[in-house]
Formats: sequence, C-alpha cells, structure tokens
Amino acid sequence: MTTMALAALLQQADQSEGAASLEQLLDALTSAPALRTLVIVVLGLPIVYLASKWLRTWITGLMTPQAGLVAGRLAFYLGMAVLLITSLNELGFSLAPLLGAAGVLGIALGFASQTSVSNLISGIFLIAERPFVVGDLIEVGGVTGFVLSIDSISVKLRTFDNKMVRIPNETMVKSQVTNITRFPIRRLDVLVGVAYKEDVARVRRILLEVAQRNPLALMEPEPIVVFEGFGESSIDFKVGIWTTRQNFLAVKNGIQTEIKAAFDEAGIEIPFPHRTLTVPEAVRHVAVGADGTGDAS
Amino acid sequence: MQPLVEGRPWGEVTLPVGETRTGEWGTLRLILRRTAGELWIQQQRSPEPTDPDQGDWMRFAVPADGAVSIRPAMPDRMLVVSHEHRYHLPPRRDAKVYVRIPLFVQIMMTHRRLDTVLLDLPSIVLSDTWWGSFTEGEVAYWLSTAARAAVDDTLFLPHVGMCPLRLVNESATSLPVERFALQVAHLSLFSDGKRNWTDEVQVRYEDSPDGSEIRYGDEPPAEAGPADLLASPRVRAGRRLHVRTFDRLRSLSSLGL
Repeated sequence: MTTMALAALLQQADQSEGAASLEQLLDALTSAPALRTLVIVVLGLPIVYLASKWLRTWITGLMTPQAGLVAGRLAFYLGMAVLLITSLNELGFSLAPLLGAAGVLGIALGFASQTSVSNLISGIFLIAERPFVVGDLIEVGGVTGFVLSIDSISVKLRTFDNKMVRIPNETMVKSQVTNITRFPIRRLDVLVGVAYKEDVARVRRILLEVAQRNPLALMEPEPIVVFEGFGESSIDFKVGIWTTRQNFLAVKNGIQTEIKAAFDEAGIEIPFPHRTLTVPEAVRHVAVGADGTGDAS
Repeated sequence: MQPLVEGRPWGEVTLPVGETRTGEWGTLRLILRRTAGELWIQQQRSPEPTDPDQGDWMRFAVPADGAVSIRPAMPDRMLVVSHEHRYHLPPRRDAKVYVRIPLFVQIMMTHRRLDTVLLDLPSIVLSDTWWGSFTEGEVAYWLSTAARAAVDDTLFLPHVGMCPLRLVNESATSLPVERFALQVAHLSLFSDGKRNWTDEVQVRYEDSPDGSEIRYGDEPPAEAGPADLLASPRVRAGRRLHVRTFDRLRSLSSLGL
C-alpha cells in the first residue's frame, strides 16, 4: 500500500509544475499513511521531550525537584503513549484488539506487580505529603540516615557509617517516620546525676551557667534544668539546651565535658553506683594459701 | 612583638618578610607573621598571650607586593538586644536608646586594587540565640550588654560601635520594650577619631503583620559631630525595610517537656 502511494506520488510530482506541484507534493506526502506517521513521530518526539522538560522545570520551581522529576516523567510517558497510539492508528492498525490484549495483559501484570504498584502509589503519597525531602535526616524502623532520593518504588538513605539503605515506599507509608532535621532548632537533653549531699539550688545554678557560657547553645529558647527525681545513687537532673540543627553534635560533645569540668571546679560529686558486699560467716573461715588456692579450716 | 597598626586600631599593617606583629581587639588577639609568599595568622582568646610558636597558624598564600590591612566590620548576623529596664512605650511616643555593638575584625589583603578578606573574626565571641518560632526563624547573636538610655565616653572602646536607636510607637497600643532585634549588617561605621558611631536607626512600630519599618540614617548621627566613614555596611539595603523587630519566642518554660 505504501509503495503504491509513493509511486503515485512520484508520478504526480513528475507531472506537476512550479508552486502548484510543490503544494500537491506536500498534500501527497501527508496523505500517505507511512509518511504521515513519519511526520508525526519526527515532530512529536521533540515536542514530547521539550514539553516534559518544561513541565519538570515548572513544577520544580513551584514545588520540589522530586515532584518536578515525577511530573516530567509522567508527562513524557503519557506523550509517548499518545504518539504510539496515533502512529499505530495512522498505519491502519485497529486499536480495539490491541486494547483488548492490553487489558488482559494488564490484569496479568497487575497481579504480578501488586507490590510494585503499591510502592508506586505510596511514592506518590510521599511526594504529595512531603514528610521529608532529599537531604533530610530521618529515622525509620530503627534506621537513621540522610535521604538520598525518593524514587517511584523506594526511598534510599545514607546512614552515618556510609551504608545505603533502600526502604520500599509502602514500608515508609506504613511506618512511623521521624524527621530529625525538619525544624531549624533542636533541644539537646543531657541527664546529670549528683551526690545526695550536694546543694540542689547550687547544682541547678552551675548547670545553667554552663549552658549559657557555651556560645553555640541558644540563649532563647532559654536552657532549662529540671529536677528529674531521686535516683538509685544520685539526684538526677535533666538539662535541656537548644541549639541549631547544624551545631547539635558540637554542643552534644562540648556540653558534657563542660559540665564535668564545672562540677570538678565546684567540688560537686558525680556519683557512681556503690555496692556493699557482705561476706557470710562460713566463707570467712576459708583460708587462702600462698599459691592462691583456698583451703577450708 | 611589635603592634600591628601603629597608634590606631585599624588601618594598613607594615609587615616585612620574616617579622611578626600582634594586636588586640576585645577578647581577640591577632598575631600576623609574613614569610616569603605567605601570610601566617594566629588568633588567641586567652586572657594572657601565649607563645605563638606553640599555637595553630592559618597560612595564606599571598602576593609579595600585596598590602595587609585590618578593618572593622559590623557583625554578620542580627543582634538581639535587651533593654536595661523593661518599660512600655505609650502610643504615639518615641524613645532613644544606645546599643554597644562589638565589631568584627577583618584581615584584608589588597593587591592590584582588589580587596580580599582573609579572615573575618568577632572581637568578642557572642552567644547564639534564635529569633522566630520553633518552626522558622533565624540565628542571631545575643548581646549581653543592655541598651542604654544615655552614653558617656567610658562606654566607647576601639572595638565597639555605638548605635543610636530611635524607637517610635505608631500603633494605638502601648508597646512593651523588653528585647528587640537589630539588623546590624546594614549599618555603616563612622569615627570621629576617638569614638565609633553607626548611623542612626529608626524603628517605627505600627503593629502590622509586616513587622516594623526600619529606617537607616546613612550618615554620622548628630551625637558624633564631624566623623569619617570607617566601614561601609556589610550588606547594602534600601534606606527602609520591614522586619520583625519586637516579636520574640515565648518562654520555653510554658511549653513543658
């Protein structure tokens, strides 16, 4: 069919003259199904590519790079599907049997890829809800790490010891996720125990002074010292110090050393559990020989 | 060791190769040493000078004919200032206070008319604080010295800039003045030879969600008399801008643990 159309086209082109022949040539070109399909593909591919790229940039500007990426991909695949269907239609393929076959195939694939589809849909929820973004530090299911990527099937984390952890999106949606770096400031809680003989008010004052002296500890929200209770061998306090999320580790490392130094300087005892051993009367009569072996008297 | 800048706190440093100079601004002690093709800088914060050869040097590759200078600069973040007494500013009234701002010290290399800041250090290390809510805001410096209603010559130091601040309450309600945030990066610094002044800042409180309107004088304040420009603003801004000046985070104690 295509060969015949081309032959007719060439014949028409030979017979025609000047501008009129060019117009006829173009008409003939677009009237031939194969050529029409070619034109659709040649023009359609760059249009789909450029449109999806533009959509990605636009959505990225409006929302996040992740949302832009997903929107761009969706637009690209949708455009490609439209191009394919249009091209097949132009070439004279009937779409009804194809769609029927696709339906049967779809059901089979649906059963086979239930988990993947669930992850895909969960991924869309994650992107829409935005509980975290790329770069956030999150904790999920006992794993703590920085979000490397939020993909269509899974979220990838980089742990502190530089391992990559892949968590399926469905698991992310079902689990409790803690976003550690969502807010700009964090509170560091330090538990401190002092001996029962110490003056509580003095200890509280020294702890506050230590918190206020650390330049990375925020003056507002104010640091707090809370009397936690009477421990097994100490009076326990909780010191709450606010800092920016960037300085959290530096404050955590520094403040405990500073508390120890301040207590040493003020002569405040940090007790450790004491254990008194009572030796039964019978055991006291065990004599220990020079070679270390015991001998009952 | 010889002083960094002869007879003045700021200016160009004469530093021949192989020599070491030292200078102090607030709690900052700077030691500069020049070697062939390098400038070595050491900062100390200890009350008494320590042997620089036992300390850590920062080494910069610099052109042999480059000029080294020490210049003042305003702090790089906003300052949260408390007033010496908590008071209320009635509607349609204004009040003037003075804020002592510890300056930053910049070590500058100038070569072929191109200025490069090698180091930018606070003369006094200020504590961090937060200006905003628990979910958004910005880090600021906490000024431990309170704003005052009056100044005298004893308050002026080479590493301190005095900022005259006029608070104007244009709202219909009384304004409690306890703490306020001051955008110091937009301020210029002037000197009359002995005292450092910034341009006057006017804060007009209108009880508006846009915050207060801030106006910068862009010239030495009336108190300074004739004064020369010592440092341009760290960040150029228009003469007017709107910022949250009087809002602040509520006390943590009311939030519980």
